[in-house]
Amino acid sequence: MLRRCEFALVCLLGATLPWRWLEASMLRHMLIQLPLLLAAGWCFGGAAAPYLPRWSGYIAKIDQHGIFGLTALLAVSAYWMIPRALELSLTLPLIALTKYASLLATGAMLAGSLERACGVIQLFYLGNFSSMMAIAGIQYQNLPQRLCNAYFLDDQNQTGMALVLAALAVAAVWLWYWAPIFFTSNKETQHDIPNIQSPVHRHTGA
Amino acid sequence: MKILSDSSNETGLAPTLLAVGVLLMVSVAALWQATMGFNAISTEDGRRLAVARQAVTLPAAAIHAPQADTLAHLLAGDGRVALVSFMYSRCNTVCSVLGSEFQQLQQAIRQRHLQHDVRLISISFDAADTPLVLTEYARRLGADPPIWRMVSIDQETQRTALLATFGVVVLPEANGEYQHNVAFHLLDRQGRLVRIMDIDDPLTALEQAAALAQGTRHVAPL
Repeated sequence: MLRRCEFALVCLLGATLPWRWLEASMLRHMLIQLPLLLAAGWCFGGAAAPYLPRWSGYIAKIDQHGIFGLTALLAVSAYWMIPRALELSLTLPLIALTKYASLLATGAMLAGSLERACGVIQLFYLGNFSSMMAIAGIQYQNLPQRLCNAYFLDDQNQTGMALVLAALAVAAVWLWYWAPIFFTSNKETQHDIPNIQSPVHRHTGA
Repeated sequence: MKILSDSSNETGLAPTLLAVGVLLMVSVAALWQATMGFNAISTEDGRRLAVARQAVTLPAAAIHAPQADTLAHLLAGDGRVALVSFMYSRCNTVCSVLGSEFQQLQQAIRQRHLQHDVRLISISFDAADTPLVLTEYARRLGADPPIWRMVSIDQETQRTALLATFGVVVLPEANGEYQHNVAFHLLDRQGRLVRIMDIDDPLTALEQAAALAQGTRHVAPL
Protein backbone atom coordinates (compact mmCIF):
# COMPACT_ATOMS: atom_id res chain seq x y z
CA MET A 1 0.00 0.00 0.00
CA LEU A 2 2.85 2.30 0.85
CA ARG A 3 4.48 1.79 -2.52
CA ARG A 4 1.22 2.63 -4.23
CA CYS A 5 0.88 5.75 -2.16
CA GLU A 6 4.43 6.78 -2.95
CA PHE A 7 3.87 6.25 -6.65
CA ALA A 8 0.64 8.20 -6.48
CA LEU A 9 2.42 11.04 -4.74
CA VAL A 10 5.17 11.05 -7.33
CA CYS A 11 2.57 11.24 -10.11
CA LEU A 12 0.69 14.01 -8.35
CA LEU A 13 3.79 16.06 -7.67
CA GLY A 14 4.97 15.44 -11.21
CA ALA A 15 1.72 16.83 -12.50
CA THR A 16 1.46 19.83 -10.20
CA LEU A 17 4.90 21.16 -9.27
CA PRO A 18 6.13 21.91 -12.81
CA TRP A 19 2.68 23.07 -13.85
CA ARG A 20 3.95 26.18 -15.60
CA TRP A 21 6.27 24.14 -17.78
CA LEU A 22 3.64 21.47 -18.42
CA GLU A 23 0.90 23.92 -19.30
CA ALA A 24 3.15 25.94 -21.62
CA SER A 25 2.80 23.31 -24.33
CA MET A 26 -0.38 21.60 -25.53
CA LEU A 27 1.47 18.31 -25.90
CA ARG A 28 2.81 18.33 -22.36
CA HIS A 29 -0.45 19.62 -20.93
CA MET A 30 -2.72 17.06 -22.55
CA LEU A 31 -0.46 14.05 -22.72
CA ILE A 32 1.77 14.36 -19.66
CA GLN A 33 -0.11 16.35 -17.03
CA LEU A 34 -3.57 14.89 -17.60
CA PRO A 35 -2.44 11.23 -17.68
CA LEU A 36 -0.26 11.83 -14.60
CA LEU A 37 -3.30 13.14 -12.73
CA LEU A 38 -5.29 10.11 -13.83
CA ALA A 39 -2.47 7.80 -12.70
CA ALA A 40 -2.20 9.59 -9.37
CA GLY A 41 -5.94 9.15 -8.84
CA TRP A 42 -5.67 5.47 -9.79
CA CYS A 43 -2.93 4.79 -7.25
CA PHE A 44 -4.52 6.82 -4.48
CA GLY A 45 -7.79 5.00 -5.09
CA GLY A 46 -6.11 1.62 -5.00
CA ALA A 47 -4.14 2.50 -1.88
CA ALA A 48 -7.09 3.90 0.02
CA ALA A 49 -9.68 1.26 -0.89
CA PRO A 50 -8.78 -1.33 1.79
CA TYR A 51 -8.97 1.39 4.45
CA LEU A 52 -12.38 2.64 3.42
CA PRO A 53 -14.55 -0.47 3.18
CA ARG A 54 -17.86 1.36 3.53
CA TRP A 55 -16.98 3.90 0.89
CA SER A 56 -15.77 1.10 -1.39
CA GLY A 57 -19.09 -0.63 -0.82
CA TYR A 58 -21.06 2.43 -1.95
CA ILE A 59 -18.88 2.83 -5.00
CA ALA A 60 -19.31 -0.85 -5.87
CA LYS A 61 -23.08 -0.41 -5.66
CA ILE A 62 -23.20 2.44 -8.16
CA ASP A 63 -20.44 1.01 -10.29
CA GLN A 64 -21.81 -2.42 -11.14
CA HIS A 65 -19.90 -3.92 -14.03
CA GLY A 66 -17.69 -0.87 -13.99
CA ILE A 67 -20.23 1.12 -15.97
CA PHE A 68 -20.13 4.29 -13.89
CA GLY A 69 -16.36 4.62 -13.70
CA LEU A 70 -15.83 3.85 -17.37
CA THR A 71 -18.57 6.29 -18.43
CA ALA A 72 -16.83 8.87 -16.24
CA LEU A 73 -13.57 8.13 -18.08
CA LEU A 74 -15.22 8.78 -21.45
CA ALA A 75 -16.94 11.95 -20.25
CA VAL A 76 -13.92 13.44 -18.54
CA SER A 77 -11.50 12.67 -21.37
CA ALA A 78 -13.95 14.01 -23.98
CA TYR A 79 -14.30 17.24 -22.00
CA TRP A 80 -10.58 17.89 -21.62
CA MET A 81 -9.94 17.16 -25.27
CA ILE A 82 -12.12 20.14 -26.20
CA PRO A 83 -9.51 22.83 -26.97
CA ARG A 84 -11.59 25.65 -25.54
CA ALA A 85 -12.03 23.81 -22.24
CA LEU A 86 -8.34 23.01 -21.96
CA GLU A 87 -7.42 26.61 -22.64
CA LEU A 88 -9.93 27.91 -20.09
CA SER A 89 -8.17 25.80 -17.47
CA LEU A 90 -5.11 27.98 -18.08
CA THR A 91 -6.85 31.22 -17.22
CA LEU A 92 -9.78 30.44 -14.92
CA PRO A 93 -8.86 28.99 -11.50
CA LEU A 94 -12.26 27.33 -11.13
CA ILE A 95 -11.81 25.39 -14.35
CA ALA A 96 -8.28 24.44 -13.32
CA LEU A 97 -9.62 23.11 -10.03
CA THR A 98 -12.28 21.15 -11.92
CA LYS A 99 -9.54 19.67 -14.07
CA TYR A 100 -7.57 18.38 -11.09
CA ALA A 101 -10.65 17.15 -9.23
CA SER A 102 -12.27 15.41 -12.20
CA LEU A 103 -9.12 13.58 -13.26
CA LEU A 104 -8.15 12.49 -9.75
CA ALA A 105 -11.67 11.27 -9.03
CA THR A 106 -11.97 9.40 -12.33
CA GLY A 107 -8.57 7.83 -11.80
CA ALA A 108 -9.52 6.74 -8.29
CA MET A 109 -12.56 4.90 -9.61
CA LEU A 110 -10.92 3.51 -12.71
CA ALA A 111 -8.99 0.61 -11.19
CA GLY A 112 -12.09 -0.69 -9.46
CA SER A 113 -14.24 -0.18 -12.54
CA LEU A 114 -11.91 -2.16 -14.77
CA GLU A 115 -11.86 -4.93 -12.21
CA ARG A 116 -15.64 -5.05 -12.07
CA ALA A 117 -16.06 -4.84 -15.83
CA CYS A 118 -16.05 -8.02 -17.87
CA GLY A 119 -14.18 -8.26 -21.17
CA VAL A 120 -17.04 -7.15 -23.39
CA ILE A 121 -17.74 -4.05 -21.32
CA GLN A 122 -14.04 -3.19 -21.15
CA LEU A 123 -13.81 -3.57 -24.90
CA PHE A 124 -16.80 -1.30 -25.46
CA TYR A 125 -15.59 1.50 -23.25
CA LEU A 126 -11.89 1.32 -23.95
CA GLY A 127 -12.60 0.91 -27.65
CA ASN A 128 -14.65 4.11 -27.56
CA PHE A 129 -11.97 5.86 -25.52
CA SER A 130 -9.23 4.82 -27.87
CA SER A 131 -11.11 5.74 -31.05
CA MET A 132 -12.15 9.10 -29.57
CA MET A 133 -8.50 9.94 -28.92
CA ALA A 134 -7.50 8.76 -32.39
CA ILE A 135 -10.19 10.84 -34.12
CA ALA A 136 -9.33 13.90 -32.05
CA GLY A 137 -5.67 13.34 -32.88
CA ILE A 138 -6.36 13.17 -36.60
CA GLN A 139 -8.48 16.33 -36.43
CA TYR A 140 -5.80 18.22 -34.52
CA GLN A 141 -3.34 17.41 -37.28
CA ASN A 142 -5.69 18.21 -40.14
CA LEU A 143 -7.14 21.53 -39.07
CA PRO A 144 -5.18 24.47 -40.48
CA GLN A 145 -6.27 26.93 -37.82
CA ARG A 146 -5.09 26.99 -34.24
CA LEU A 147 -7.63 25.49 -31.90
CA CYS A 148 -6.10 27.09 -28.82
CA ASN A 149 -4.92 30.70 -28.94
CA ALA A 150 -2.36 29.94 -26.27
CA TYR A 151 -0.54 27.21 -28.19
CA PHE A 152 1.45 27.15 -31.41
CA LEU A 153 0.27 25.35 -34.54
CA ASP A 154 3.29 23.02 -34.50
CA ASP A 155 2.37 22.12 -30.96
CA GLN A 156 -1.14 21.28 -32.12
CA ASN A 157 0.20 19.02 -34.87
CA GLN A 158 2.49 17.19 -32.49
CA THR A 159 -0.31 16.75 -29.99
CA GLY A 160 -2.45 15.26 -32.74
CA MET A 161 0.21 12.70 -33.58
CA ALA A 162 0.76 11.89 -29.93
CA LEU A 163 -2.98 11.39 -29.38
CA VAL A 164 -3.09 8.84 -32.18
CA LEU A 165 -0.08 7.05 -30.65
CA ALA A 166 -1.73 7.12 -27.22
CA ALA A 167 -4.88 5.61 -28.72
CA LEU A 168 -2.85 2.79 -30.23
CA ALA A 169 -1.01 2.33 -26.94
CA VAL A 170 -4.24 1.92 -24.98
CA ALA A 171 -5.42 -0.67 -27.50
CA ALA A 172 -2.09 -2.47 -27.38
CA VAL A 173 -1.98 -2.62 -23.59
CA TRP A 174 -5.53 -3.95 -23.42
CA LEU A 175 -4.79 -6.66 -26.00
CA TRP A 176 -1.59 -7.63 -24.22
CA TYR A 177 -3.49 -7.95 -20.94
CA TRP A 178 -6.16 -10.09 -22.51
CA ALA A 179 -3.82 -12.10 -24.76
CA PRO A 180 -3.61 -15.09 -22.37
CA ILE A 181 -7.33 -15.62 -22.57
CA PHE A 182 -7.42 -15.24 -26.32
CA PHE A 183 -4.75 -17.87 -26.78
CA THR A 184 -6.19 -20.53 -24.51
CA SER A 185 -8.46 -23.18 -25.96
CA ASN A 186 -12.24 -22.61 -26.20
CA LYS A 187 -13.05 -24.92 -23.31
CA GLU A 188 -11.22 -22.68 -20.90
CA THR A 189 -12.62 -19.30 -21.93
CA GLN A 190 -15.06 -19.04 -19.08
CA HIS A 191 -12.49 -19.99 -16.48
CA ASP A 192 -11.60 -17.44 -13.92
CA ILE A 193 -7.98 -16.50 -14.50
CA PRO A 194 -6.48 -15.00 -11.32
CA ASN A 195 -6.79 -11.29 -11.49
CA ILE A 196 -3.31 -9.84 -11.14
CA GLN A 197 -4.62 -6.88 -9.19
CA SER A 198 -6.37 -8.74 -6.42
CA PRO A 199 -4.92 -11.84 -4.82
CA VAL A 200 -8.34 -13.25 -4.02
CA HIS A 201 -9.99 -15.67 -6.41
CA ARG A 202 -13.51 -14.79 -7.34
CA HIS A 203 -15.53 -17.96 -7.61
CA THR A 204 -18.31 -17.68 -10.09
CA GLY A 205 -19.77 -21.01 -9.14
CA ALA A 206 -20.18 -21.76 -12.85
CA MET B 1 -11.00 -11.98 -15.91
CA LYS B 2 -14.32 -12.78 -17.45
CA ILE B 3 -15.25 -12.15 -21.03
CA LEU B 4 -18.95 -12.08 -20.31
CA SER B 5 -20.48 -11.02 -17.03
CA ASP B 6 -22.32 -13.45 -14.83
CA SER B 7 -25.96 -12.74 -14.19
CA SER B 8 -25.87 -13.09 -10.43
CA ASN B 9 -26.06 -9.75 -8.67
CA GLU B 10 -26.25 -9.07 -4.99
CA THR B 11 -27.87 -5.70 -5.54
CA GLY B 12 -29.88 -4.72 -8.57
CA LEU B 13 -28.63 -2.49 -11.31
CA ALA B 14 -30.86 0.38 -10.22
CA PRO B 15 -28.29 2.37 -8.19
CA THR B 16 -25.78 2.06 -11.02
CA LEU B 17 -28.22 3.08 -13.72
CA LEU B 18 -29.35 6.03 -11.64
CA ALA B 19 -25.79 7.13 -11.01
CA VAL B 20 -24.88 6.77 -14.69
CA GLY B 21 -27.99 8.75 -15.62
CA VAL B 22 -26.97 11.60 -13.33
CA LEU B 23 -23.41 11.41 -14.66
CA LEU B 24 -24.61 11.65 -18.25
CA MET B 25 -26.77 14.67 -17.48
CA VAL B 26 -23.89 16.43 -15.73
CA SER B 27 -21.54 15.53 -18.60
CA VAL B 28 -23.87 16.87 -21.28
CA ALA B 29 -24.33 20.07 -19.29
CA ALA B 30 -20.57 20.44 -18.91
CA LEU B 31 -19.96 19.80 -22.61
CA TRP B 32 -22.70 22.31 -23.42
CA GLN B 33 -20.94 24.86 -21.25
CA ALA B 34 -17.51 24.17 -22.70
CA THR B 35 -18.67 24.49 -26.29
CA MET B 36 -21.06 27.43 -25.74
CA GLY B 37 -24.05 25.37 -26.68
CA PHE B 38 -22.19 22.95 -29.00
CA ASN B 39 -21.22 25.90 -31.18
CA ALA B 40 -17.55 26.43 -30.55
CA ILE B 41 -14.71 24.01 -30.02
CA SER B 42 -11.76 26.32 -30.51
CA THR B 43 -11.02 29.25 -28.26
CA GLU B 44 -11.14 31.63 -31.22
CA ASP B 45 -14.64 30.52 -32.24
CA GLY B 46 -15.68 30.93 -28.62
CA ARG B 47 -14.26 34.44 -28.50
CA ARG B 48 -16.07 35.49 -31.69
CA LEU B 49 -19.34 33.95 -30.59
CA ALA B 50 -19.17 35.63 -27.18
CA VAL B 51 -18.65 39.05 -28.77
CA ALA B 52 -21.46 38.46 -31.26
CA ARG B 53 -23.79 37.63 -28.37
CA GLN B 54 -22.73 40.48 -26.11
CA ALA B 55 -20.94 43.71 -27.02
CA VAL B 56 -17.77 44.37 -25.04
CA THR B 57 -16.78 47.73 -23.58
CA LEU B 58 -13.08 48.46 -23.92
CA PRO B 59 -10.90 49.38 -20.95
CA ALA B 60 -9.19 52.75 -20.72
CA ALA B 61 -5.95 52.92 -22.65
CA ALA B 62 -3.54 55.76 -23.23
CA ILE B 63 -2.30 55.63 -26.78
CA HIS B 64 0.07 57.27 -29.14
CA ALA B 65 -1.56 57.82 -32.51
CA PRO B 66 1.09 59.25 -32.94
CA GLN B 67 0.25 62.06 -30.51
CA ALA B 68 -0.61 61.23 -26.92
CA ASP B 69 -4.30 60.49 -26.60
CA THR B 70 -6.64 57.91 -25.15
CA LEU B 71 -8.29 55.12 -27.10
CA ALA B 72 -11.70 56.11 -25.84
CA HIS B 73 -11.17 59.67 -26.98
CA LEU B 74 -9.89 58.57 -30.34
CA LEU B 75 -12.97 56.45 -30.87
CA ALA B 76 -15.72 58.40 -29.16
CA GLY B 77 -14.83 61.87 -30.38
CA ASP B 78 -15.15 60.53 -33.86
CA GLY B 79 -18.49 58.77 -34.06
CA ARG B 80 -17.46 56.50 -36.89
CA VAL B 81 -17.60 52.74 -36.93
CA ALA B 82 -14.09 51.25 -36.71
CA LEU B 83 -12.35 48.16 -38.05
CA VAL B 84 -9.50 47.34 -35.69
CA SER B 85 -6.68 44.85 -35.98
CA PHE B 86 -3.69 44.04 -33.81
CA MET B 87 -0.27 43.81 -35.40
CA TYR B 88 3.40 44.66 -34.99
CA SER B 89 5.56 46.43 -37.53
CA ARG B 90 8.40 43.91 -37.63
CA CYS B 91 6.06 41.15 -38.75
CA ASN B 92 6.99 39.10 -41.78
CA THR B 93 4.17 36.64 -41.64
CA VAL B 94 0.46 37.07 -41.07
CA CYS B 95 0.49 40.75 -40.13
CA SER B 96 2.12 41.70 -43.41
CA VAL B 97 -0.88 40.11 -45.13
CA LEU B 98 -2.99 42.18 -42.76
CA GLY B 99 -1.11 45.30 -43.85
CA SER B 100 -1.96 44.76 -47.48
CA GLU B 101 -5.56 43.93 -46.59
CA PHE B 102 -5.86 47.21 -44.74
CA GLN B 103 -4.47 48.98 -47.81
CA GLN B 104 -7.17 47.23 -49.80
CA LEU B 105 -9.79 48.35 -47.30
CA GLN B 106 -8.56 51.93 -47.35
CA GLN B 107 -8.85 51.94 -51.12
CA ALA B 108 -12.36 50.47 -50.95
CA ILE B 109 -13.45 53.03 -48.36
CA ARG B 110 -12.30 55.83 -50.64
CA GLN B 111 -13.96 54.30 -53.69
CA ARG B 112 -17.26 53.80 -51.93
CA HIS B 113 -17.12 57.14 -50.15
CA LEU B 114 -17.39 55.55 -46.71
CA GLN B 115 -14.86 57.91 -45.12
CA HIS B 116 -17.52 59.49 -42.93
CA ASP B 117 -18.83 56.14 -41.70
CA VAL B 118 -15.93 53.75 -41.39
CA ARG B 119 -12.36 54.14 -40.17
CA LEU B 120 -9.43 51.75 -39.82
CA ILE B 121 -7.22 51.38 -36.76
CA SER B 122 -4.10 49.22 -36.46
CA ILE B 123 -3.03 48.70 -32.85
CA SER B 124 0.50 47.51 -32.21
CA PHE B 125 1.09 45.20 -29.24
CA ASP B 126 4.86 45.32 -29.62
CA ALA B 127 6.66 47.46 -27.04
CA ALA B 128 9.32 48.10 -29.67
CA ASP B 129 6.82 49.95 -31.87
CA THR B 130 7.42 53.48 -30.66
CA PRO B 131 5.39 56.35 -32.15
CA LEU B 132 8.36 57.12 -34.39
CA VAL B 133 8.54 53.56 -35.72
CA LEU B 134 4.81 53.51 -36.33
CA THR B 135 4.82 56.81 -38.14
CA GLU B 136 7.46 55.45 -40.51
CA TYR B 137 5.57 52.17 -40.90
CA ALA B 138 2.34 54.04 -41.63
CA ARG B 139 4.09 56.15 -44.21
CA ARG B 140 5.54 53.04 -45.83
CA LEU B 141 2.14 51.43 -46.16
CA GLY B 142 0.53 54.63 -47.40
CA ALA B 143 -1.86 54.90 -44.48
CA ASP B 144 -4.03 58.01 -44.82
CA PRO B 145 -4.50 59.32 -41.24
CA PRO B 146 -8.11 60.51 -41.64
CA ILE B 147 -9.05 56.98 -42.69
CA TRP B 148 -6.36 54.67 -41.24
CA ARG B 149 -4.57 55.31 -37.95
CA MET B 150 -1.73 53.32 -36.45
CA VAL B 151 -1.70 53.27 -32.70
CA SER B 152 0.60 52.04 -29.96
CA ILE B 153 -0.08 51.65 -26.25
CA ASP B 154 2.65 52.82 -23.91
CA GLN B 155 1.83 51.25 -20.60
CA GLU B 156 2.33 47.52 -20.32
CA THR B 157 -0.58 47.05 -17.91
CA GLN B 158 -3.00 48.88 -20.18
CA ARG B 159 -1.72 46.99 -23.19
CA THR B 160 -2.23 43.66 -21.42
CA ALA B 161 -5.70 44.69 -20.28
CA LEU B 162 -6.70 45.76 -23.77
CA LEU B 163 -5.41 42.55 -25.33
CA ALA B 164 -7.22 40.52 -22.68
CA THR B 165 -10.50 42.36 -23.30
CA PHE B 166 -10.21 41.79 -27.02
CA GLY B 167 -9.17 38.19 -26.42
CA VAL B 168 -5.96 38.50 -28.39
CA VAL B 169 -3.22 36.17 -27.14
CA VAL B 170 0.33 37.00 -28.16
CA LEU B 171 2.92 34.21 -28.11
CA PRO B 172 6.57 35.19 -28.48
CA GLU B 173 8.47 32.87 -30.79
CA ALA B 174 12.11 31.91 -30.56
CA ASN B 175 13.08 34.02 -33.57
CA GLY B 176 11.75 37.24 -32.08
CA GLU B 177 8.49 37.08 -34.00
CA TYR B 178 5.07 36.67 -32.47
CA GLN B 179 2.29 34.19 -33.14
CA HIS B 180 -1.13 35.61 -32.34
CA ASN B 181 -4.75 35.21 -33.32
CA VAL B 182 -5.58 37.67 -36.10
CA ALA B 183 -8.99 39.06 -36.95
CA PHE B 184 -10.93 42.16 -37.92
CA HIS B 185 -12.59 43.64 -34.84
CA LEU B 186 -15.64 45.77 -35.51
CA LEU B 187 -16.30 48.60 -33.07
CA ASP B 188 -19.61 50.43 -33.14
CA ARG B 189 -20.08 54.20 -33.01
CA GLN B 190 -19.84 54.09 -29.22
CA GLY B 191 -16.50 52.31 -29.33
CA ARG B 192 -17.78 48.95 -28.13
CA LEU B 193 -16.54 45.71 -29.65
CA VAL B 194 -19.53 44.17 -31.40
CA ARG B 195 -18.17 41.67 -33.88
CA ILE B 196 -15.04 39.75 -34.78
CA MET B 197 -14.51 38.68 -38.37
CA ASP B 198 -12.07 36.54 -40.28
CA ILE B 199 -9.23 38.18 -42.17
CA ASP B 200 -9.81 35.84 -45.11
CA ASP B 201 -12.39 38.18 -46.56
CA PRO B 202 -11.66 41.88 -45.97
CA LEU B 203 -14.36 43.18 -48.28
CA THR B 204 -17.06 41.23 -46.48
CA ALA B 205 -15.78 42.75 -43.25
CA LEU B 206 -16.13 46.17 -44.83
CA GLU B 207 -19.68 45.28 -45.83
CA GLN B 208 -20.46 44.45 -42.21
CA ALA B 209 -18.90 47.70 -41.06
CA ALA B 210 -20.84 49.72 -43.62
CA ALA B 211 -24.07 47.95 -42.70
CA LEU B 212 -23.52 48.70 -39.02
CA ALA B 213 -22.80 52.33 -39.87
CA GLN B 214 -25.95 52.52 -42.02
CA GLY B 215 -28.05 50.92 -39.35
CA THR B 216 -26.91 53.34 -36.71
CA ARG B 217 -26.62 56.42 -38.88
CA HIS B 218 -29.30 58.38 -37.02
CA VAL B 219 -28.15 57.39 -33.55
CA ALA B 220 -26.10 60.16 -32.01
CA PRO B 221 -22.80 58.96 -30.54
CA LEU B 222 -22.60 59.17 -26.74
